[in-house]
Amino acid sequence: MKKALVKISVVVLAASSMLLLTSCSKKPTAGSESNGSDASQTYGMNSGTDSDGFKVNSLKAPSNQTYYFAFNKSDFRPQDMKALLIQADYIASHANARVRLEGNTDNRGSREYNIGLGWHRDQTVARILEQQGVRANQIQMVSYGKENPAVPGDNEHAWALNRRVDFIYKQKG
Amino acid sequence: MCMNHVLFLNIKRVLFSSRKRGEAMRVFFEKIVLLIAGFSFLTAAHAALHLELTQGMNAAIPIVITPFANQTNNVPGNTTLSQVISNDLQNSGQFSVTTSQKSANDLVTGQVRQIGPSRYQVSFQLVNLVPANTTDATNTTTLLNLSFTANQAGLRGLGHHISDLIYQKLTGVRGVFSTKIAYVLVQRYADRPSHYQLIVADQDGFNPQTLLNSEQPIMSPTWTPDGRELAYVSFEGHHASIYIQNLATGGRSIISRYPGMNNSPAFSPHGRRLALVLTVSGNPNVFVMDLAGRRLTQLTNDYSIDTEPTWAPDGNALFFTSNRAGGPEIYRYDFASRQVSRVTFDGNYNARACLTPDGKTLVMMHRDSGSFNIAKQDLSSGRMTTLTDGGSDDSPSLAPNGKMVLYGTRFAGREVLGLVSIDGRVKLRLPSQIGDVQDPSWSPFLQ
Repeated sequence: MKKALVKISVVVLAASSMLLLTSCSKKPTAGSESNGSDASQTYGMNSGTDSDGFKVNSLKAPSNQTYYFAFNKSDFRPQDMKALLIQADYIASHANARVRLEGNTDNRGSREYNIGLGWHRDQTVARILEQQGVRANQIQMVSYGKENPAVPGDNEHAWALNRRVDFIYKQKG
Repeated sequence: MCMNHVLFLNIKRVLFSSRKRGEAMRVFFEKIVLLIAGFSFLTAAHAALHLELTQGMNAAIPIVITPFANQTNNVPGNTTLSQVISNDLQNSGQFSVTTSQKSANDLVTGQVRQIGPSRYQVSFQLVNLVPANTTDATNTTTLLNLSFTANQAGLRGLGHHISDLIYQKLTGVRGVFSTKIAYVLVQRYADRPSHYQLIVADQDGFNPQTLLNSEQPIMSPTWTPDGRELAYVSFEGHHASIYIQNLATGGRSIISRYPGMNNSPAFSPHGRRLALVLTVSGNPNVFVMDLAGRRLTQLTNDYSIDTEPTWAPDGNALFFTSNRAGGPEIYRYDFASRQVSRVTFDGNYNARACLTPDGKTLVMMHRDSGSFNIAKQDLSSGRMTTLTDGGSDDSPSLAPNGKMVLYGTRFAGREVLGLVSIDGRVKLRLPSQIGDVQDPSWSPFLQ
């Protein structure tokens, strides 16, 4: 019977990812347009996209975010700090809030090494959150490396769009 | 396609065992089972890869393979025994299959006899046409003369076995025509999530079987040393976990699901230990798990990315990738002394290493002026030699005889598999009709 249960769980696990498709849409849709300037920023759960296709992070919390990184780097960009601190304050003051950080790289280089690089990008974001009082158990980190590109293509633009941490609320608290 | 039915039947058996759990659950499982079966049936049928020789070798051994007497094209793949053997030997790059006995070194002949409703007796002979120390053209030597029985479904496997025997006799090296490859097939869509499949096929790309379907990435398949199971990383539930799946039954279990990364699995030569990468200490570090007790030993502990462990064939050392000195380079961990030493110095990006069976040569990804290729390094001299020039080549995996490297490359806008001989002289491609084919892993010798 125990063996049967193990087998059943195999089927459940094999299928769980398909079921997740319906329950958990990972990529936020552009619900509000934004020109990127603070004065005309519109607020919503989802971020908009600029003319180059980069996500523009909402300054309202809670809202899903995307933070971009330079090639082979895991340093946080200063221009994203304001948006991240707004989310950090929100999560720190909502004990039930939970976020998942999904680290990603461009498609150059070794697959598993890129998983490590995506992880370091997750860690960069998580450290800033924790410095603002977010507890470790509120943050889940996963690195997809180059396995989950936002856009296809082998050019500088696609690479820049793919080097990112997707910041996703699992629970808004 | 035939093997997909087998997979379907195995999943069905799981369904029946769940019946005791109640009707509602049964219906739930049935829906899932149909979903999985539908996916694997539809995709695998079109997913077969076909070997293409893109660069041959001048010094290839000329060999004549005559059509076997009474053979028909009833060999799986709608082909004949002599054609399977010809393709194997030609694609190895070590042979040049010709029709002229005058210019050939060796000759293969064979006979097929039906001995039952779906049962055949197959005999073959390997004859050397240029015996040493004589000019007498009639003085030939029979090197092999063997007979086998097989059912119709087993004729293709028998063809590969005959190729293995010929290859070993004439080159002195064990052939890999009866081995398998694992890889990940990814189909990306604009309007819905990507579809990832873990697939196992014959080494020539024939007979692909889907082991796992997922909407989340699958990566780093690696074989147990006995070839019966595969470990891999799957991101189901947005969490990287390491699974081990039995190839015959399709049953699988989670071997590692710690918080954070569970990546880069690699079995020790005897299969009792698994090297892996975990972030339980914060940064990606290399661990070894004792598989019997699931006990962990941490090998590296620093702030860099330490990943991609691979075992020395004698099990006394582990090679891995680390960026502790800036860019990724290959390092060696010695189990006896617990000391780490740097192995690669040529270039600022060397990663994903594997070792030849004799332990003397490291094969890895190597970046040269922004271009990623497969290279090898002789461990005694330290000399690095580039084997490929694809520019975006990754994930090298060695054949169990150490003579060929399977790797990921890009061709015509797609990710495909490439093959290169360890001397760099022979190159092949395994293009796919659909999707991106990536992250290959060559099986060990199979019984």
